[in-house]
Amino acid sequence: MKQKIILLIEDNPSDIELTRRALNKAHIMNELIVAEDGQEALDYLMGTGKYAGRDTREMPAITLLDLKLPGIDGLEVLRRIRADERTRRLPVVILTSSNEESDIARGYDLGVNSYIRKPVDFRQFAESIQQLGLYWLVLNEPPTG
Amino acid sequence: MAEKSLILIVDDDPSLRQVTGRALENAGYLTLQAVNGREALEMIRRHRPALVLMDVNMPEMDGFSALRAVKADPETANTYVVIVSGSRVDADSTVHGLETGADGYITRPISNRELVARVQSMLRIKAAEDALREKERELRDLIASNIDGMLVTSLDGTALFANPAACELLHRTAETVIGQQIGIPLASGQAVELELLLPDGTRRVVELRRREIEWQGQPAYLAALRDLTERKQAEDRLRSSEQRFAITFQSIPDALAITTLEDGKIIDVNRNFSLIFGYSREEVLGKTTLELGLWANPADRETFVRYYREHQRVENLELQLRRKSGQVFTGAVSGESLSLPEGFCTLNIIRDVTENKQAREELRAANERYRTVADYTYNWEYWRALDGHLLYISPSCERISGYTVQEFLDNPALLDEIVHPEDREVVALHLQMREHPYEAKAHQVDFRILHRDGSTRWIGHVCQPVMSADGQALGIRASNMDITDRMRIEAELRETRDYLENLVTYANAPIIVWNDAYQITLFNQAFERLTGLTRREVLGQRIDILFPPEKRQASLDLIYAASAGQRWETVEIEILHTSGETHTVLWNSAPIFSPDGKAVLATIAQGQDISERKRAEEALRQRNRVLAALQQTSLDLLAQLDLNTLLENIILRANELIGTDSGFVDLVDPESGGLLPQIGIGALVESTKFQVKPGEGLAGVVWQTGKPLVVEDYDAWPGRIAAFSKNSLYSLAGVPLIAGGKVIGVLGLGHSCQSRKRFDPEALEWMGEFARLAAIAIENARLYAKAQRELAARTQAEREVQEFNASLERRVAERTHQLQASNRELEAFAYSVSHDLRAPLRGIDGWSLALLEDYSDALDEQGRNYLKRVRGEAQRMGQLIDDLLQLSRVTRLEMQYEPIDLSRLARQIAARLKENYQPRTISISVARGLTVRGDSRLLEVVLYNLLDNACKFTSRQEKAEIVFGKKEVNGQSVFYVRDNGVGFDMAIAQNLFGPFQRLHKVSDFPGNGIGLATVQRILQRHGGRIWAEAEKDRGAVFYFTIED
Repeated sequence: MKQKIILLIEDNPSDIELTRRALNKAHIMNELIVAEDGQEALDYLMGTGKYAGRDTREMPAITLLDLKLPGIDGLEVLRRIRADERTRRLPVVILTSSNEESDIARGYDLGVNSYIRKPVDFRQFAESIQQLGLYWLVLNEPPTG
Repeated sequence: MAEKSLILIVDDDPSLRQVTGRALENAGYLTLQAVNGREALEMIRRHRPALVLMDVNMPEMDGFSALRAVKADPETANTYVVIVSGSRVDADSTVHGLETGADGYITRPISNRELVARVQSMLRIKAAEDALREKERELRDLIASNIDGMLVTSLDGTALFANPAACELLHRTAETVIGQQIGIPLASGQAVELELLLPDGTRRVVELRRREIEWQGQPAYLAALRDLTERKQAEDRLRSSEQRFAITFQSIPDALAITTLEDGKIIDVNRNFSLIFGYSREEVLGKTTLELGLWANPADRETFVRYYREHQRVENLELQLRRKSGQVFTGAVSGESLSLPEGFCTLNIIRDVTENKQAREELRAANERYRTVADYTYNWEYWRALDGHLLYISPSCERISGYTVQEFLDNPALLDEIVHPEDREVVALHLQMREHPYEAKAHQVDFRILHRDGSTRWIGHVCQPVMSADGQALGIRASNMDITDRMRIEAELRETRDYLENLVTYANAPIIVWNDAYQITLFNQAFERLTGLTRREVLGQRIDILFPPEKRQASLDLIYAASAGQRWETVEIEILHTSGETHTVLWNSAPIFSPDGKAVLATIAQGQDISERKRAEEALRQRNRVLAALQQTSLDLLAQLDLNTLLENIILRANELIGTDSGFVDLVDPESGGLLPQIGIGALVESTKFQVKPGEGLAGVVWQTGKPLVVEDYDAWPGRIAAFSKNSLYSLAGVPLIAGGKVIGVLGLGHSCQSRKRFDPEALEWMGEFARLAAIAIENARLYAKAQRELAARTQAEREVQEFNASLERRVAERTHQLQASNRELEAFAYSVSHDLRAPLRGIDGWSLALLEDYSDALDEQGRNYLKRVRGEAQRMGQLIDDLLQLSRVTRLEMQYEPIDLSRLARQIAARLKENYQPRTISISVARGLTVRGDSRLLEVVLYNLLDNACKFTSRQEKAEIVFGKKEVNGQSVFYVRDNGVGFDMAIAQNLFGPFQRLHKVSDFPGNGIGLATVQRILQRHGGRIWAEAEKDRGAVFYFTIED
């Protein structure tokens, strides 16, 4: 079985490293692909741009999406993911600092699978990542194809 | 000679004049002097001298020339002029002087004494001539004015003079008489009657007397002519009358004797007297009847005389008389009294009636056979002999007269005595006619008798002479019928007729009757008044005269139509009055038919003068026309709402209606109260220049009194405005414009001096009516203008409000926009805070933890403690950021109202809090059934904060007692959260609900001071409020309200 990929769409380097650390702490060793802006994330998923030629049959088991991104923002990225046949069923979890209700509501409207607010307390954050990984990478059956 | 005679001396020689003058003055004369003929003429004309002594040879005009001039002028012809010639003058010149007309001649030289003597002599002659001339004039006047004709002829018969009476008598003018030859054939002093044949062919008898007179110094005849024609005729009449009397006297078949009443002396007798009595005329004349023994019974004479004295006459008085032969016979004596020179006499007619008595017997016999019938006739029949004796009288006499048959037979005169005194004359006349019984025809008369019972009865009397077989009159047969009833009915009928006639005559309605020839036969007094014609003028005239000429034919046609059987009902015909006025009369007529009902004999028409009614109707119609015009005008005026146009219309309409050519309107200014001129046209155009005070000018007077005023001649009116132009306005009338009981202005109308018309009372009345309507229209226009102004003001206000609202909305929109913008900014800020601000904090915390976990060995206890503090600060800041975000969110969040079960919400929160504050023992009691309408998300924040605070501040209590409940304060629901915690000092609690306000140290009770600020903001958004009561260490109570 091929190792499940985690796609982290996050522009904050500190958060990228802390997330990676949290995953490590939780003993999640899955390949972590980081896209630092929306376009890069879409290029990866659609096999375009610098990811042109990538085998797009291989999709992340879980995509962690920050909302606040330079260029194409997180919700637009989500919309495009849901708009594309290939990524339509892709499990996407919004992982963000915002707890704005509007953001939460729009996220679900656009078909996000889960919405997780990043707490300031890293220990809590690490716990969240751990549970998240357990759920999506282990328990959840991803859609086929 | 009372006055001194004036003598004019004419001479060119001054010394001669002097000498002559002095001589004459010494002799007692007055003198004048002239130097030549011309001066002499002038003095003669002016002073009329008694005598002129005229020199012959004088310059300029000589004496003869002057003499001719004096004699030629009729004024001076009588002047006595004496020519005084010089000694050299010869006899020829003397003759010449006398031929020229000189009255005397004196030759010089002459002594003064002789001159005076000659002058005195000449003046005496002149005085005598003057007296003669005066006499002649008197005579001529006498003759001229004499009523007898006076004719003067020369001895050879040529007429010299004829006075007016003579000319009249001769049917000639004086000119045609004088100079004619008139033969007067009588010797002087004798009078003769002449019959003159006048030029017109008539004859005239004149008496002519002639005498010799001297006429203008010549012997002449004066003939006096007196017209005898009248006297002759009178004499002829008298003579023939006397002759007729004499003949009658002699030829009457009865004996006639004229005797004195006093002693019966016989004055005259006729031939038949001699025959009957046997005495010759000569035997009886001068003798008395008693002397002659004519009375068989001398006592009868006394009866006879008494009878005469009482009745002035006797009639058929039967007396016993004696003839000369001694034979006594029955004589019927009738007589009349006479007044003769011999005294009071009687003419006695004596008839021998001895034979009559025999005739009576015959009559009685002749009529005896009728008696039986007559006895039973209803009428009163009688037969009477010529001598008055009653032969028969029917018994009906008693029924009719009340007297019996016997009474009448005993006294035949009773028949005459019972005749009503007023009718005796009628009866007497009838009897006279009966005196000629030879006319064998019936006589008829109606008269009254006095019944024995005193009542009056009417008798219809018919009588007829009865003749003997040989034609001898025997008497009369009479029949009296009682016609009292008929007469009464006739009288009543007459009365009725009179009554009807009076009724018609004095009826108030004009009544007229015309006959079939359309001639007026009855015309009553009312008709006289209607036409001014009198009855007498119109009776018999054709009815045409009643109608005004232009309507005559039409009226006659109507009347002809009526005669053709049509009847008029209420036909109006105009009747002409003599004054030229016509009256409209309403007529009805009816034909009067002949008794057989076939022919129309006359037509009666009765009228009713409806001129007054017509006039009233016309006046009413006129008034209605004016009212209609006023009505129309008022409608037009009311439709006009612009005041200036309206005023112009008012003036124009008023002028049109009243017929004026000028007008003005002044109106009372509502603000100043003054009368302000508004408009003026025609001669009143300058009225707009004058603003009058009360009582000043016509407008001022009308304004002050509120009454109309008319000024006939404006220029002469004492109240006129002095500055107003003269010769412009003639008459002026003003009426007040009254609205709401107040004078709001004055309407004036005028006739200019061009038209010079006046106002009649009717015009003023119409003006009043017009002014009432005009005032309403003006008030209307003013109200409209006021309403317009108010409307405009209101519209302005509304526009301002609208503008204000619009600007407010704009500002609100702007503010909203600004707020939205700032909200968006705030949102962006909050977003940024929630996202970006937390990220570094998370980094600080995460990397601090990483340091602690990975390098804890490298750090001592103090180092590790520091890192923990770093992490704590970071997390506190994270909490602070979250709280601030919530505070901002409650203000930004859109409210969603719904019913909320606060009790349930509170219980859920309480459960969470109990868990959070484990292991503390916290009792949170929540009242049941607390519900409100509100936003559940926000109210949850409220309850959470309040309950959390309560838990927090009770942390030092062993057992926290927290209550959420509700109570009513002043009818309002107040929720509360009470705890038994530390409480606080109310004195420092004023900023309890401001953000970041804290009453306690963080080390004592954690918190950032944002919770209650958030709570207050949420409750404010729900229309509620929050307040607290607390005491240090005694717990606290937070109350809040939520608007339902």
